[in-house]
Amino acid sequence: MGRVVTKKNIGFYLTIAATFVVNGLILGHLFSNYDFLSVFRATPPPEEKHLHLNYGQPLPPFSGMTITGETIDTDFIHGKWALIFYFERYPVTDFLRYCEVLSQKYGSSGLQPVGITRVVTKELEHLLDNQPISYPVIVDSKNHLRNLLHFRYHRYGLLFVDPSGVIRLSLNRLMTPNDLRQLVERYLVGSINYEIEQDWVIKLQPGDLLPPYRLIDVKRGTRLTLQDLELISSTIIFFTAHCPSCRLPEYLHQLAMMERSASLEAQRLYFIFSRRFSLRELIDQMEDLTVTLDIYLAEEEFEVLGSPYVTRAPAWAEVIVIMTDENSRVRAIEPLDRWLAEFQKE
Amino acid sequence: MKGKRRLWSIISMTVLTVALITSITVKERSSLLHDIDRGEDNDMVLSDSRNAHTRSSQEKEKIVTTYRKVLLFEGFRFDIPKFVRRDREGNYYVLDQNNHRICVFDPSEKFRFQIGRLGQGPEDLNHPTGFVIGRDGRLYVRDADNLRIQIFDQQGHRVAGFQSPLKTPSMAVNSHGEIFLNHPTKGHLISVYSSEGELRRQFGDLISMSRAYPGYSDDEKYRRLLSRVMMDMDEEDNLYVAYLFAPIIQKYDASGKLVWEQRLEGPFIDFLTKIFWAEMKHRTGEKQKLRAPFTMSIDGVQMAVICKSIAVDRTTNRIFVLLGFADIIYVADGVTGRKIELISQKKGEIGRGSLWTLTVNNGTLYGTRWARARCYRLVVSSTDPQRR
Repeated sequence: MGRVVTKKNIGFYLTIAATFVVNGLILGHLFSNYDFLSVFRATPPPEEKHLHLNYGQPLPPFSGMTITGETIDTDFIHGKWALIFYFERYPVTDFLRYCEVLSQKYGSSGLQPVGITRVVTKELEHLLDNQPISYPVIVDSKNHLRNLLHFRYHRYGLLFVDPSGVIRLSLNRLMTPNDLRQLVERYLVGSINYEIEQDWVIKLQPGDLLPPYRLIDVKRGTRLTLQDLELISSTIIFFTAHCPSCRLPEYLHQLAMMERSASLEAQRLYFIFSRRFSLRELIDQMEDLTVTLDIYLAEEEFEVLGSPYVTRAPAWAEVIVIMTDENSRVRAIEPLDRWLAEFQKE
Repeated sequence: MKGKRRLWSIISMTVLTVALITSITVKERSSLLHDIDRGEDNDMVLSDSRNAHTRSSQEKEKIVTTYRKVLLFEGFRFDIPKFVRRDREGNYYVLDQNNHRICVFDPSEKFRFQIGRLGQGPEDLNHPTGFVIGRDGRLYVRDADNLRIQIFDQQGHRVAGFQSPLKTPSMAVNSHGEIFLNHPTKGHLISVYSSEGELRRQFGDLISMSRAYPGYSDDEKYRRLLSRVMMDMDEEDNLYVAYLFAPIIQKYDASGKLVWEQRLEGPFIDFLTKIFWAEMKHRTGEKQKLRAPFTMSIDGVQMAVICKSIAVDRTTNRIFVLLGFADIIYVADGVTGRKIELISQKKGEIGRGSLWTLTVNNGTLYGTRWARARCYRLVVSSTDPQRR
């Protein structure tokens, strides 16, 4: 008997070992995600598969480890209005940020958001580094909480629990910020504000310099900032929308009309679409129109418009026109309708 | 030498022919109708706004009757209003979808109270998509995100309800309080439920592609998708339906028997059909010049809408169908289903298709606009002295 592992057959043994390792990893992943042993057990009742925590049911006791290493359990939220939300993998930036805004505003009234995620992605780490949040985010890598709170068939989930531990709202998705605000106001304030909030203000004032602001040139695909544009005596038309896909055709039509208007030829015009618009959709729909004007897509929130508490702009403020003077400072800000009407008069 | 020259001349001729054919095809495609404008003599001219210089294939449809919009509930802030309805006392009811409520106004348009608010409790709503006022004065609401039908009395107290998974906004209620829902997944066009949610009966065949669009081959997967309808009911419990994705309207009698089926007709309907197919081809990866300004996603398939809303005027027995584009209303006779006319906005006010729902009460039309979150009364006037 010679040596079992020789130079000649080492490749074979390495392949076998690698196969074992890969198979082990696959099995490990499958076991951690699926309940294989249930195959050997008695057939579960059919309704168990679609169990869902509903309105009026008590929240089951739970505990978990947060990203920062603390252990929290049901006692942590006892006596508070708990907003428990689950995201499997991809953090919903706006939702996390808005929960923080609500937490700061209504924390003293008893609101306590709690996030649950299966995986701490680099995206989430980056987000938390840049915009720290004060509420805990539990890491549920073993899917205990996902199964316990019946989020297992969904990527997202949300539970709103009253101070006595009874579920007041249960969804297998996340809510829009506006709905979240209404929900919190309903239970914590006692009434919902259906009017546009009073703190909706344009923070940019005449005389101000425009802030550095990251943009993508939609036609050329290049990245730049607002300061890279020729801002002297220029006009910036800023498009926002509560539903970007719904409004885009109308906006592009307006844009094509403006381009054809002889009175606007002498103007230095820039069109900026807010971050919520999709680059792909813009490119797609612009191909169909003969628009030669420069169009930009924002890469970040334009903080000078609106306040973090407001989730929707009034209809008149969805398209804002910012005019600059010879020193590139803000000369005036107007809604598009009024600006166009004045132009047509001239 | 001669052979080479001959070869070159054949090649160049072939290239020229191909170029010529291509240019003709491109021109033909680019001059597809796209925009709507009002021409001389109040004709409606359908033309291509993207290629203003190639208006070779304009089509005309005579518009005699127009409407103007009168703003209702001035200053009141909705978030996606839908369906302006009125009860026997003249009170207005408006569904405020993103505020999860139904707003009630008195006949002088003054806000009285609201029914429902965001939540999952018995009297709560979560993104309601449609409602009707029954003959008994009750409000039947499709509470879409809570997957249920809610029934409220006129004071806003819940009296009944049941679970219903489909989210389409359309529903109707007959004189016995039975609820008509469009449930094509159940194998029929219409399913009729009691107020407790018991399935009473079903009727109406699902529509096939070849029936909706003659000349196109049937595809089983489109039967359920195409069978999405909007509906309204008259005093005799006749049900009128308009297909969201096909230019077809139908009338069923109180027993569920099909009385008539009519295809919507005219140049504008042909134009809408063109848009529908351009959008379908675009979604399957074929590049299209023509695109629909208004589409709806059903089961993940995005399709251009042909009919947005249907309303039956019980006083004149006319059917009003809000078409999927340009705020144009198709008027048909309630007895035969035949086309009477098209109604559009006044000259200079051609809409971009922002009207979302259309209802009619005692001969008056009401519309809601999504983009600006407004409700309107549509004042119809005719330029034809005979129709005034």
